[in-house]
Amino acid sequence: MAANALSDRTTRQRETPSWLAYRAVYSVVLVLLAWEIASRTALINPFFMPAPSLLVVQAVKLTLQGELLPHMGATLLRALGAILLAIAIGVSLGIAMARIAAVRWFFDPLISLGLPTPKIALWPIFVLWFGFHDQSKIYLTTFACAFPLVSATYLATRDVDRYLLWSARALGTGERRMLWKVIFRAAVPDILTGIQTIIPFAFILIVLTEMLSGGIGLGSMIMLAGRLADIPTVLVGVIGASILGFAVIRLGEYLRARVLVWHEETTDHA
Amino acid sequence: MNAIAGSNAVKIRARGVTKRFAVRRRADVIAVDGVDLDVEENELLAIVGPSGCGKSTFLYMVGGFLEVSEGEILVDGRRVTGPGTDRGIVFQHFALFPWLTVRENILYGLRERKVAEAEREATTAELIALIGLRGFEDVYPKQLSGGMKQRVAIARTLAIDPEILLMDEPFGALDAQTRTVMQDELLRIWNQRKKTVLFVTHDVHEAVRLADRVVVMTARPGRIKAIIDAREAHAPDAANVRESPEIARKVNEIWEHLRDEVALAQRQEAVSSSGRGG
Repeated sequence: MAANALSDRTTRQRETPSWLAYRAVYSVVLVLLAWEIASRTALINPFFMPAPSLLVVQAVKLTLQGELLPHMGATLLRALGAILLAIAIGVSLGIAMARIAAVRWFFDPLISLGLPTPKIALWPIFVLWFGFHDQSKIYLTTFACAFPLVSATYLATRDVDRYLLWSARALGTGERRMLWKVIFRAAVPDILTGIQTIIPFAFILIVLTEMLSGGIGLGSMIMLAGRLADIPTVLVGVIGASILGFAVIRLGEYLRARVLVWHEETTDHA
Repeated sequence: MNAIAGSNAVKIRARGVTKRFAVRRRADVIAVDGVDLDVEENELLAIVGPSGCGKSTFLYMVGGFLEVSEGEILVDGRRVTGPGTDRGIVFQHFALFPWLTVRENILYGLRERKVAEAEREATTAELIALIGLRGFEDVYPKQLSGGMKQRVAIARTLAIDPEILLMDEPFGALDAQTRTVMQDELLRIWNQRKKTVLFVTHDVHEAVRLADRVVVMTARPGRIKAIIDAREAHAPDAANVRESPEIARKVNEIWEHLRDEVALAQRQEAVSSSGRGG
């Protein structure tokens, strides 16, 4: 009975016609098709812009040679590591800034100054501190991603609706429990938005640091192939990085919908 | 104006309550100015006044959410220094915890007060029945209509059984029909569980229908202009009467007091919004 009365939101959503369901991929398919034809007909120089079908062949070849997946794996793990570290640091620092005046006083100017700083320019220092391997890449990416996340978390926890806080106070929640019982929960949507915005940053920075340092990882693979004028491998590397980033972004969206079932934005509560 | 109660026990006592807000580079705004008021035990007292007159500010001070700048507020003879579970509050925009279901919202205060589980469940089930939301226990607030949300907010507050119920324009966000239904609901609940209710509204008719006494406030700075006894306008079975000559007469009487204040408040608003550009 309850379900019927509540379903007005769901019934209002029209059934999506099946030909429209995948419209998001149409533009990609169109570009790939045009590219394939242009390259095959030598409208563009196939040496500089090899056809997508050749890239697929190249990707399969690299995979069979064991040359692709280890690079992708390394890039993925580094990016995930940096994202998780940035969440741990950024969210706790952001909450601390919103709650503790001394922390805010100390970090607020630093965050404001640091946000527009090109963190990648600190690469030489990070290499000197942490060496050429995983640590320098992950730490620099963590450092860069922490700034926007601290900001997002700080604003989200600072601007919790006062009526929610007052309601909780009148229902017996003390000052100390308020952080976990109300403030953090109310801030979750905006904190998640902050986390989602750093995902592409993390992939860009990891690939960039890999390009600067060599070794394993898609960035290194791309740099090496570039020096050999192996454009198919460069493009396979770029597309590989895009696919990884895209997959993690989609994972983020999926987790968000799971966490925010209660939120207005989540409509399909079937 | 005799704001001081007669024989009945005084539940809330306000003496010289003043609230000033600091405004940067300007003189302080006085929102509430020297309010003396006694609210009797189990009385339903409504405060009406033009918008911006400080009636909600006064309610928040009784709730302990805002500090008084001058004067004092006593509840059962004890000075209010902060929020307490003896004073439940219901806001215009419900302020339900959106991440909790209906049941969890109502359970919230019981859990915070560490009430035993069996008692907790019994109270919650009883309240869900009282507000007529059986079948909606596991639904999130976003899936409820405004009227349903406000029922849940009232139940959430009643769960911890506060002696005082503070209501801040509780039906102001609802459509006219739902508002009438909710007024009846409030009377029904209030008749079942006697409480002291302090009720802020800008709807004079609502105040007369529901309240024992109606306090009329002036435009900013908010002072008490008149206190009108509305009990004589209530039929014995008040919940079923929406309109009667007595109610109409009381509404007119209150409007006589209110008209000038509303005009003044509008002028204040016009002045402050034109001044804002400079």
